[in-house]
Amino acid sequence: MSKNWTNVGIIASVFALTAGLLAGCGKESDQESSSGSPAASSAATASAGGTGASKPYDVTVALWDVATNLTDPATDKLLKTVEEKTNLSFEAQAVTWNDYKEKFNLWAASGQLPDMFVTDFRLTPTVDTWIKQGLLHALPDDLSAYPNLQKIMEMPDVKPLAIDGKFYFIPRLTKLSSDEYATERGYVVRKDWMEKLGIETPKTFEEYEAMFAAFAKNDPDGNGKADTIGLTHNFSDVFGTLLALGSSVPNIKGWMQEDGKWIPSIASTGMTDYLTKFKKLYDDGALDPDFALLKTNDGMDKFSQGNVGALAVQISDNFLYTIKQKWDKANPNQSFEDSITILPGWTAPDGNQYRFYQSTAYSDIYFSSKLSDDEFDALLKFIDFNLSEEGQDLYSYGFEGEDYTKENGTIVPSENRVNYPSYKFFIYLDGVGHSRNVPREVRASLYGENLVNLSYDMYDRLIAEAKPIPINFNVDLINSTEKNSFQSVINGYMDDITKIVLGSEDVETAWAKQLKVYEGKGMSKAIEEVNAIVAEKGIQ
Amino acid sequence: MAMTKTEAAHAASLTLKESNPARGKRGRAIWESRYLYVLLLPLMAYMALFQYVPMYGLLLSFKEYNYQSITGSPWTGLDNFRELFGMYEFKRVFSNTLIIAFGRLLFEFPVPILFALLINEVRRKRARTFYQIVYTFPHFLSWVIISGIMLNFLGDMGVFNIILQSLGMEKTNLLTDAGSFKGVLFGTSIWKELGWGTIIYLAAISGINPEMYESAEIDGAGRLRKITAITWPAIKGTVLVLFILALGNVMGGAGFDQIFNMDNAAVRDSSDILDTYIYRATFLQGASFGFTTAVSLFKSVINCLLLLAAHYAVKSRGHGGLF
Repeated sequence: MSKNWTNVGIIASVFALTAGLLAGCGKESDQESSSGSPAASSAATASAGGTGASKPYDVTVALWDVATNLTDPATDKLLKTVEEKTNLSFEAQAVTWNDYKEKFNLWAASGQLPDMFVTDFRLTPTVDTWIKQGLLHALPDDLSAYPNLQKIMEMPDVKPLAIDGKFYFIPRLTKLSSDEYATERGYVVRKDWMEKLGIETPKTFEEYEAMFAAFAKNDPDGNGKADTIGLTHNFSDVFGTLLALGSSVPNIKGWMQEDGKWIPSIASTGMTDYLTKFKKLYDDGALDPDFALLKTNDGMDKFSQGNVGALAVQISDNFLYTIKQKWDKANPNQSFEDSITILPGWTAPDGNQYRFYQSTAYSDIYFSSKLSDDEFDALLKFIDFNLSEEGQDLYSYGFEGEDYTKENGTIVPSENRVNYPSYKFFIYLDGVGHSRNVPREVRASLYGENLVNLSYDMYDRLIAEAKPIPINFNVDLINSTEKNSFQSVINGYMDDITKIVLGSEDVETAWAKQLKVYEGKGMSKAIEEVNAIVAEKGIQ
Repeated sequence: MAMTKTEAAHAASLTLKESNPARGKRGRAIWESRYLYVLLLPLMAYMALFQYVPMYGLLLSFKEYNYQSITGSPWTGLDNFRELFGMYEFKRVFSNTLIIAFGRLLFEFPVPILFALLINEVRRKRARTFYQIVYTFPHFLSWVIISGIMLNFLGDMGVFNIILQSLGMEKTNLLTDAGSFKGVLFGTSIWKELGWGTIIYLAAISGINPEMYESAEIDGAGRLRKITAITWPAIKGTVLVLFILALGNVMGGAGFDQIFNMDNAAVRDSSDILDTYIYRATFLQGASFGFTTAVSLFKSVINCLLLLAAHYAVKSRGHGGLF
C-alpha cells in the first residue's frame, strides 16, 4: 500500500470514530425531542394501526412489571379493545418492585418521567419536590366530565391529600374498601408438614414460633438432612407489617396516640414487644437465617422449591395462584392445594386478633406535566372508563360470548376464558379487578376454585372475628413538610430493625440508640408539627 | 545501522533547530508527525465530551436542582456542604470509605505482585498459561453474578456452612455479620481480580533480559536471590506508578459495584461508603441532587489531593512518579 493510501485510511477512520462519538451524543437529543412531543411522532404509528377516525395518542406508562404485562396489541385482544376505545396507544417504560424508586428518581432528574406512572411515593418529600418544580400535571378543578373519577376523588381517605386545594394524582385503588386489605397479609403454611409433625393450628405467638422452629429442625420432609427453613418472607415490608399485627405496634409505619400525644409507632414503647418477638424468631432458628439477604419475590421462589415451611406473603387468591404457578413448575408431582393452608397470624398482646387495614390506595397514578391538554384528557377518560361499570366488567369477566355468558342476568364464566397479559396491567393500574365485587365463581375461573375458597373463607373469618389495625387516617394522611420528611425515614424501618435483630445487643438498648438516630433525622420536629396540626384542625 | 523514519525526522528537526527560531521548530515537529496528532483527535474529542463537558454538572453542588436545567437552577452557596458535614451519617460513611479503601491498598494491592512473581517461577509454559487463565477468569464475571454466587456459597445452607458443619463447627453467616463483612469484601475482590492484576506485572517481568538471569546463575544466585536482585528491581517502577494511581483512586476505589451488590441492612454500618450512600440518598430516599453532587465533589477533591501527595512523595525520593 502506498503512503498516500495509508494516510487516507487513517484520516477516514479517524473521522468515522469522531462521527460515531458525535452520533452517540446526537441520539439523546433525538429521543428528547420525540418524547417532548409524543403527538407529533404518533402520526406515523397511527396510520399504520388504522384504528379509527382520529389518530391515537402515544403515551408511555410505568407501573410495576408493566413490561411483561403490556405486550403487542395485535396478539392481545383486551389491550387492542381498550386502546381503540380510549384512542390511546400504550408504550411500557419498564419498572419492577426491585428498581422502581431508583428509576423514577432518575427519570425525574433527566426529564424522562413517563406520561402516566404509578408509584408509592405519596406523602414523601420526593413528590413535594416534583410538584414544586412543576413535573406533575394537576387534575382539573372541574372533574364533571369524568363522573366515575370524580366519585373517587371525593372519598374520605383521598380528600385530605390535596395540596392547596389541588390534586396532583389519582389514587391507585388497590381495593374498593379498606376492609379488603384483610387478606393482604398472612402466612402460607405447609399443611402436609403440620400433619406430619402433628402440629395443631397455632393461635399464640409461642405456638406459631414453635411451629416455625419445628419446620426448621424436625426434618418435616423426612430426608434426614437439616435442609428446611421454618419461616421466610416474600417482601420485607409485607413481612414487617405482618409481624406488627401480633405486636403492641400494629400500625407500625403510621402514627399512634401515647400519653395524649401523637407519635410515630416506631417511637412507642410497644416497639420492645415487636423487636423481642422478631429477634426470638431469628435467634431460635424459626426464621430463615438468610432473611436479610432476600430480594422481593425470592421468598416465593424458595417456598416453591419445597424446603420452606411457611411464607409471609399476601394471602389473596391471586397471590396464592402466583405461588401455585411457581410451585407446579418445581413440584409437578405434588398438588399445591393439598400441600398448603393459610393462617392469619397470632393475637396481639392486648388480646386482639388484628387484620391488615390501610387506606384504599397506598400508591397513586401521576401524570407528567409534559402532556398536552388533549392527551391528558384522553388519559383521564381512560381512567374514568376503568372505574366505570363497563370497564370493571370488562376487566373482571373478559368478553361476553367468549369469556362468559349471561344467563338470566347472572354471569357464567366460560371454561376456556383467555387470560390476556394486559389483564394484569389494567387491574393492577386501578385494582378494581382485585376487589371483592367480583363474584367468587368468576374469580374461580381465573385462579381455581380451591384457592379462591381458601382465601375467601379466610377473608370472611377475618372480617367477622378480627379487628382492623387502629389507624386514624386524619392523622396518618396529614400532608406537611416535617412529617413527610420523617416519613421517608420511617419507610426504611426494616433496615434499622434487621440490623438489631441480627445484632448481639439487647433490643431495648439497641432501639433506644436507634431512636437517637431518628432524633437526629427530625423526629421531634415531625411530632411537634403533627400535634400542632391536630390541635389546630381539631382532629379526633 | 540504517536510520529509521522517525530517527530521520528527529535528525531533520535537529538540523532545523540550528537554522530556525524555536516556534518554527515546534510547528515543524508537529507537521512531521501530523498523522499521530490526527490519531489523537478522537481520543481528545472523547475526553472533552465525556470527561470534561459533564464536569459543569458539578455546579449543582452549589445549587438547588430545579429539574429543568443545571445552569438555570438557583444558587444556594455552600448550603449543600454545610448539610453534608452536619449529616448524621457523615462520620460513619466517611470513615468506612477510608478504612475500606486503605484496606484494599494494604491487602489487595500486593497480592497480584506476589502472584506474578510466583507464576513467573513456574517452569512449564503450558502450566503457566493454565494457571493464568484459571485465575484471570473471575475478572470477567460482574459483581451481580458474584454476589449471587457468594449468597449461595456463604448463605445459611451454602457450601461454606456445610463444610463447617461437617468439621463439627458452628454455622456462621459471614454476609450478615458486620464484623466479618469487610473481610468478605477484601476476599472476594482478591479472588476476582487476582489474575487480571498480574498481567501488567508479568508484562514488566517479560521485558527483563534473560541474560541477566543467566549471569546471576553463573554467579551462584538461587531463585530467591534472583527475585530480589533482578525481578523486583525491574518491576519496582511499574509497582510504584500503579500504587500512586491506586492511591489517587482511594475514595472511588472503595468499590461501589461490589458493595452495592453484596451489602444488606445488617452490615450497612460497616460497609456503607460515600458512593453507596449517595446512591441510596438520591434514588431511594429522594435527597436533593445538589446535596449528592456536593458529596461527590468532596470525594473528588480528596482523591485529587491524595494523588498529588503520592506523586510528589515518590518523586522526592528519586523515583519516576506520574509526570
